[in-house]
Amino acid sequence: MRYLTSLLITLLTATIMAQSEKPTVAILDFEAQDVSAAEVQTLTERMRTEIGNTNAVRLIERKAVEKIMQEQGFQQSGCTNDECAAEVGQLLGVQFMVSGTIGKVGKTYTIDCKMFSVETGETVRAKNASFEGDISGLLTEMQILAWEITGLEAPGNLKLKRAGKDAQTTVAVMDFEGRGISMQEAQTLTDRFTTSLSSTQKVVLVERGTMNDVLEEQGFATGECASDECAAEVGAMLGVEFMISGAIGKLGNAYTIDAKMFSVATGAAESMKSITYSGAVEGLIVEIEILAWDILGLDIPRSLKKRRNQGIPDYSAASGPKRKTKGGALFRSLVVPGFGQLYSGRKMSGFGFMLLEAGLIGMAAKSNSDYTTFQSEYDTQLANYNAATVPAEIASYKALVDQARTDMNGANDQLVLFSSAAAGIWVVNALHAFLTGPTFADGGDQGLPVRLAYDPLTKQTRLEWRLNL
Amino acid sequence: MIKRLVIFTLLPLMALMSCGQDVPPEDVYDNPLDEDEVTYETPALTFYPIDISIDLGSSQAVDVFVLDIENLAGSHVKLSYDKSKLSVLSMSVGEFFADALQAPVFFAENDTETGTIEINTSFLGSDSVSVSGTGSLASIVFQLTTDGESSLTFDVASCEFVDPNDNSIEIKGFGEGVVNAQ
Repeated sequence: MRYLTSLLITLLTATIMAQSEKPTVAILDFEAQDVSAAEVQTLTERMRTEIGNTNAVRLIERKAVEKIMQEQGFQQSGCTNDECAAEVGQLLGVQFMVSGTIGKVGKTYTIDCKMFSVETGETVRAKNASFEGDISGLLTEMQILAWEITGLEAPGNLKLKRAGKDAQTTVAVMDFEGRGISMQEAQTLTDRFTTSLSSTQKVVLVERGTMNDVLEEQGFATGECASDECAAEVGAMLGVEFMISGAIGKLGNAYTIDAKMFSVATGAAESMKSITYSGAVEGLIVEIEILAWDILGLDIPRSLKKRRNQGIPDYSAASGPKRKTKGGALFRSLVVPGFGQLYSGRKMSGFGFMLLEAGLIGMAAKSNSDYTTFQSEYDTQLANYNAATVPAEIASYKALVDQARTDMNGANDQLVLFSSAAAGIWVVNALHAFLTGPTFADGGDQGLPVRLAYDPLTKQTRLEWRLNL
Repeated sequence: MIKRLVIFTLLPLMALMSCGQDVPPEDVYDNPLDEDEVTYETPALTFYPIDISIDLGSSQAVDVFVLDIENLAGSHVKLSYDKSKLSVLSMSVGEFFADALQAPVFFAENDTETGTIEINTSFLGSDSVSVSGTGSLASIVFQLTTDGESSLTFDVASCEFVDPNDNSIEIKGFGEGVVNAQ
């Protein structure tokens, strides 16, 4: 009876193999190390379920494996070495066996699993994972390993789940179709849409690179996967909940944007938006950004609304070098002496005023410092005078006080002189900056409106004036 | 624009224009022993310091000074103080007579009933010992007992200076001390 059952299972496996070219695989319960056997069994079962979802292999049911092992007198948990696994695999008639270990080191769970050929005993693929946290987190790790052990990349949703972002909606954006605009322009606008979508922080987006990889695997060139069916298929492969696709068209001076967000699972449209925009291309970018919020049913940020209402700044007004004016020269010279002249292109007078002003202010500061020194001397000698009781000392200190006061007077006179001169030069420099103004070569004002000039033709000195109309 | 102009320009300019310092005046000399500055003639009697600041309960030494005297051999000084505000802790001979060849006789009496102090200083004998110039006749330590301003005044009629021949020396000026409670 035992041999008959084995024969039947082997025949069944052979039949399955015959039906499909997919390799047959059986998974043994993983070995538990410092983890309960029941938990490991549950985790292994999760891998079995997920490996079935890959559609890459034909999986032998757990019951069939158990039956064979019972017949052979093995306990699943006892069949941990490769020889045992290979023997079971041969009895099952599968090509590959998957076995592994789940252990715990400190607070970290470790999973090691491998797939080996039953025929040759050679390890085809080995994968491992570590996880720190509650043991329930291993469920996701086992799902991911199920894909990886079969040589496939785990779906995006699993990766997102591992990253702890499963609470947010996962979305992938297909490049918008360009109608009347170039593909590059459509891609640029799609990128802006994606960026804005990401800034909402309400969805988790699949990177363009990942999506392109999937499209490439499916044999689609850029822009070819435009239909909803194709998008849904790509979405399923990416493991996202929603796909967004759309088109940007240009009709005369108007732009149209149509975008649709639909569920990958059901194909039902979640949200559809259409925009018609007329104006500068820069405004279209704002509309695209607004669309990202709108399609998710979110309130449009005030900053975006403001940008939409303000319209596009007139860059033409700001283009080219700003015209230099006398007022600009005056203001600069009032702020920093000589600066207005430098602004006007008169370096000589500019630096001259700067040095002169700096020199005068420096002299004033020196005089002020001297005054402070003399004042200190004055205070000291006056205190000595007041404390003196001997007439000779009184007279001596009195003379020193007088001397200190004289020195203070001198220093103060210099201070007033230099500071007044500095103030005067400051005013003169401002007037000079205004009256001379920017040089004509700089495109500024054309100098004084009145000038005295010698006319060689008439051999006379002439007073000329100019009145700008 | 105007505000910026004011901040950046007018303020620095005004600062520059108002750079002059206030130089102290010349009439700052008020040492009561400065013969050139006192308002009375010499020889004179005065207090030093003349403006006395004392904290309530604390004490302050006040010297009785004679200014610009010639051949002083003996003196009798009588002064009064506000007994309701001041009390006398001690009285001692000043340094003026200490430089002389002979030690002086010093006798001071404080009448707490009237608030008067009498100080007698003289050289005994007929050695013609005398002192000249400016110096302290006596040092009195006062204690402030009550808040308020009071004055120290000489009894002009009772004060007397004599030379070694017992001739009277005219005292032409008297200073008045002011006591302020801080």
